[in-house]
Amino acid sequence: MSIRNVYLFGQGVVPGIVIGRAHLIQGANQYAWTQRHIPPEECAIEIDRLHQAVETSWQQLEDIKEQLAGDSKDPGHILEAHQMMLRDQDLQSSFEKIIVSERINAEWAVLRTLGAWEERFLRIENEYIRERFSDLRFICTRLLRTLSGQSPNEVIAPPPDAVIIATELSPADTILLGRNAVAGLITVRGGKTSHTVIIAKAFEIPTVVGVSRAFEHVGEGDLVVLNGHKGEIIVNPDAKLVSVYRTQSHRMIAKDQALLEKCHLPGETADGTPVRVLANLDFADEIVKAKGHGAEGIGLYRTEFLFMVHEKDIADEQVHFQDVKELLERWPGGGPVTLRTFDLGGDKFPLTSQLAREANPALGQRSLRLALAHPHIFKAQLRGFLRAYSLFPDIDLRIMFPLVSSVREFQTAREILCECYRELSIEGHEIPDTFKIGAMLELPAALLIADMLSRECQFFSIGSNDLIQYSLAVDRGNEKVAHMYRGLHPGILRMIQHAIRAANDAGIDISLCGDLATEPIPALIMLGLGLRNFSMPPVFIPYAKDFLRTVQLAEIEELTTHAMTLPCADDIEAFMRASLGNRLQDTFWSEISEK
Amino acid sequence: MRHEIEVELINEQGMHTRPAKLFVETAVKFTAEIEVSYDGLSANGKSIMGLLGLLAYRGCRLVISATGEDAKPAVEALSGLVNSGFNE
Repeated sequence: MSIRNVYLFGQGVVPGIVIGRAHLIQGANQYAWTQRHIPPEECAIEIDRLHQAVETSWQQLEDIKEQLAGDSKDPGHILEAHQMMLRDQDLQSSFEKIIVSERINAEWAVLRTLGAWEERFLRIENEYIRERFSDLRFICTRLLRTLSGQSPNEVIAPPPDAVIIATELSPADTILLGRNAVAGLITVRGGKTSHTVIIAKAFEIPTVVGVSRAFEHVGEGDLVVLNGHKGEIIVNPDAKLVSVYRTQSHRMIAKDQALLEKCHLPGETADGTPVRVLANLDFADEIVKAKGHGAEGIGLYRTEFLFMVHEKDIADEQVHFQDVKELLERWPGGGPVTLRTFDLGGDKFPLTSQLAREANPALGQRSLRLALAHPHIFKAQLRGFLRAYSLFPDIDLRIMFPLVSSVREFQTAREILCECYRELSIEGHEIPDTFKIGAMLELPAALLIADMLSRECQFFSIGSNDLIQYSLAVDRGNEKVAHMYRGLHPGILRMIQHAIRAANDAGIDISLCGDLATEPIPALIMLGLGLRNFSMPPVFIPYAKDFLRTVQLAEIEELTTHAMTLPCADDIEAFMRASLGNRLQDTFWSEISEK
Repeated sequence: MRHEIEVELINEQGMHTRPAKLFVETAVKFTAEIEVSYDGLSANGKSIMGLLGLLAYRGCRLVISATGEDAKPAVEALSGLVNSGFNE
């Protein structure tokens, strides 16, 4: 009897929920290929075998390409590149040289060549270049299969509705799998930009990559639930989980429509406690979507994309003015609009990207620190904000500084903002002084001094993603430790509790705008801790509002009090799940993704 | 006849598989011998593996040189392809 309900995590790259039987596919390094030394007279034979294998493999790709003809999805150019690589003179001569000089058979020569290239490619710290190496690995795997007499279609012929587990998949294999109607794909290696992911998207095969422990935990034929939204895999789920997930995908579609119809009702719990549900936006034109999904304000307007688009003229305040003006003129009023000053890493910042790289960018000169180091750019942005605001004085405008680490740092940033305000007033702009200035709390130390910051700030917003990363020392993009990234860690909850209390004592607004706001259990605990403002991508808003209407505040407060006494994230999650029962299973709040 | 030009890789992915393929497809239309060098390495401009092996990314400057009767149009066509960002 296999172990039930084993959870594995990776990066969800193609959304969707599927259930199927696992089918394992081995790559070049997993097979025990025949490796042997050969007498000199056999070199010619091995070279000949290799040439034949090249031609056979070339023809296999040609066949796959022909099957694709007439298909609107067109990854054909990738296959053509692989064909070109197979027949490449440089590659062939390096195979031949190794066969002759080391007197080894064709299979071994392929593996040796692959190894030599691997060494060369993997030295480079550039994702695109590293992924380029996988193309070579794909054709070498194909050559090895052919040399060993296996038909590639046999190797990857999965049973219908299979969930494929592979170290990585070549584009050619992915196309065949797509045509064989597999249910989902799971790969050990990561990488959101690979050709394979592009093809999986085109075929709409739910996919999770970077599941490093997949081969340890999944056996051939195991039942697997794959959640491509969350990057979650459940191996050997019990009957209950299966039925939950099975109905989920059907009901999601119907529910979507029903929820959109009532998303404009005010956010509140079943007992009528008002809870404001706000939107996180990246672009001004998303405000239409925010309104359509019932947003009661903008909790976070990010300005990073503007910086990437306007790399050259980012010190021009007109750019910032135009952008924010477009945002504000589309906002119907009512509810806050929160603008965050740029939150860029040094590597993405136009002025410093050419300079020497920092050894540890996450702990380096980024975000607000970068702004304070480049005051002319910081001021251009702040002046742009204020000038746009002067055109729409009735809006509840808020300006927020990211990554605040101390009271002094906040005061310095605020002083620069006030300086801009004074300059603009002297220049003749009439700007109301009713806008609010606040801090994003995302460093553990900042949450712990929230009571002190609350005397300076007019509002707080908790950025849970950085908070969790910095508190637990976990990079959630790193597949080896991603499972340790837990928002329900009691240490995280205690810091947030402290910040909420400080804000409520000082009578200032506090909201949550990280991913934690989009997950039902953490969000409910925040509600129980006294949080009344949640900000999330617009698509989540109808779900969040609907779910909030199913809970009583008194009940959630009671559950939260108990949850806060539990020592581990798992205990807290289990307790909340057990207490909320069906209400949690009926919500698809966290199961949806950006459409 | 020999022609040479220096170009910068401006497309996001640099000398990735697809750009390398397009480069070779253009190069083989000419009879001239084509060499691409970067950072002390040089590659046969008609070999996809050679081009990939340059490990050149966005912002790198490549020297394309051609020797042969149609060297001039070859260099023009190839530099045009690189400068267009491989139509990405």
